[in-house]
This record gives sequence, structure tokens and C-alpha cells, in this order.
Amino acid sequence: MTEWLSVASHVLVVAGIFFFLAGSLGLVRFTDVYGRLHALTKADNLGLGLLCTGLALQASGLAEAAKIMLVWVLVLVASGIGATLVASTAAACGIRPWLKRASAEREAAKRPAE
Amino acid sequence: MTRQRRLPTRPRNWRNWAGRLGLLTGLWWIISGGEAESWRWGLPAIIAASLVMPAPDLPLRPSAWLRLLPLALWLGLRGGVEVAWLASRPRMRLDTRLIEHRWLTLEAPAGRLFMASLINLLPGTLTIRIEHDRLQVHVLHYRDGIADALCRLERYIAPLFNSTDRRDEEAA
Repeated sequence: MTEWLSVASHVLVVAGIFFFLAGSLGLVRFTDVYGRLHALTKADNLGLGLLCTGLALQASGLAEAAKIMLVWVLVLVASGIGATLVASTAAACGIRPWLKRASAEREAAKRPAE
Repeated sequence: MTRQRRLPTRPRNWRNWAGRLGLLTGLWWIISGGEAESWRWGLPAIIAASLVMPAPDLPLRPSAWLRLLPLALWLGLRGGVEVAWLASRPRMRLDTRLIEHRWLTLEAPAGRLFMASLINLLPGTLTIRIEHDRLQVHVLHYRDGIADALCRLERYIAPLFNSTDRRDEEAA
């Protein structure tokens, strides 16, 4: 049982690290502030959730495991509210989202005139 | 007036107070690591804090929370996987759009704020603006069914908060 828990814990931690890396990649590759917020609020939170679950499986007691999971819950709450605040502030400051569809439509509208 | 109505010591708010007491006790148990010694001064602090802290707008409805939590966790998992997939693809083709979600049944401001925060954790959606009649949502990679998913989520959240409004009206 302990060996299985250890294996599951390591698998979850590795999966968590993968999602953290993918979130960081999204932070670099996505085109604007809104896209980057997607990377931070989704992939990173899933990564942290898997990491915390993996670490909770190695905890010495229930209270310690709950403390680790509480970290994830608090980050989830802060992340959800923070993303809304950053995105609405960016929109209020006039930062327009990158929309591929809009740019494609603009290009298509130009073509007949040419 | 509103403040007075929410004081925890009024008889109709005993249930809310008991909920806060339970929540703070659970948090204390987690933070203190379950040490028996810590309860000696932790317990008075918990009781004092539960009496002083304002009643949150989040209602105590375990059955509704139990229905919402699995859906939120599942959508959160899908959201993380989707963003990781989009970010890791060698050729990044995003169909980013802005959509509007018109409020259906969710009337309470706290409920709307809760849903706006929650959809940031769900697949491909990010709240940009909360308005009185709609929610402006940024979609990272559009696909059919996103609007339906938002409506479905609102239907799950609405009973939590709208019932609180009704209780407040009844109390008033």
C-alpha cells in the first residue's frame, strides 16, 4: 500500500511539473495579456493541484495533508479573483484582445478592393 | 441596517454562525497540525473570531456545493489540459474570440462575482467585464458548446445565491 502511494505520489508530482512547464510555455507563447492569463490560471493551477495532491500523499498525517491541500485551495481562490481583476483592468485601460478572426475578416474585406 | 441584520447573534443567524465556527475550527485544526496543546488558546480565538467576523454572502448549502464541486473540478482539469495542449503544440493556431454571456437566473451580485471568478479556471474562458445584464468573456480557442457550458454553470451556481436573497427578503 505504501509503495503504491509512493508511486502515485511521484506520478502526480511529475504530472504537476509538466503542467507548470506547459503554463510557463503558454506565458511566453500566447499573444497578449488575456491569453497569458489563461496559461496562468488554468495550466499552473492544475499543475499546483497535482503537485499538492502528490505531496499530500507523502504527508505524515491527515492535518498535514489538509494543510498542503489548503495551499492549493487558497491559490485557486486568489488566482480566479486576480485574473478577473487583471483582465478587467487591462480592458479598462484600452488593451484590446488579439482576435485572429477579426484580423482575418479585416484582411478579407481589404482584398476585393485591391 | 443591513449590518445589523447580519449580526451573527440574532437567532435566525445561528445557523450561519455555526457554519463559520465550523469553518474556523477546521482551518485551525489544519494550520495547527492537529496539536492538542494549541486548542487551549485557539478555541477562545475561534469563538471570538466567529462572533466578530461579518456573515459572508456565501450560503451554507452543502448539497448544492456537493453538486457544483465535481463539475468545477472536472472543468478545471479540462481547462488545464486544454491550455497545456494549446501552449505545447508546435504550430499555435488559436481562434480567440470575445463572447457575451447574458445572465439567465443569477441575480445576486455575490453570485455573479463568484461565477466570474470561477470561469477563469474553466476551459478556455476568462472574464473581462462584469456588467449588470451580461458577462464579457475572452475565449482562448473557440469551439461549439462554450456558451452552453456557461449557461449550465450558471444553472449550478444560481440556487446557491438566489436562495440567500429569498431568505434575506423573508427575514426583512
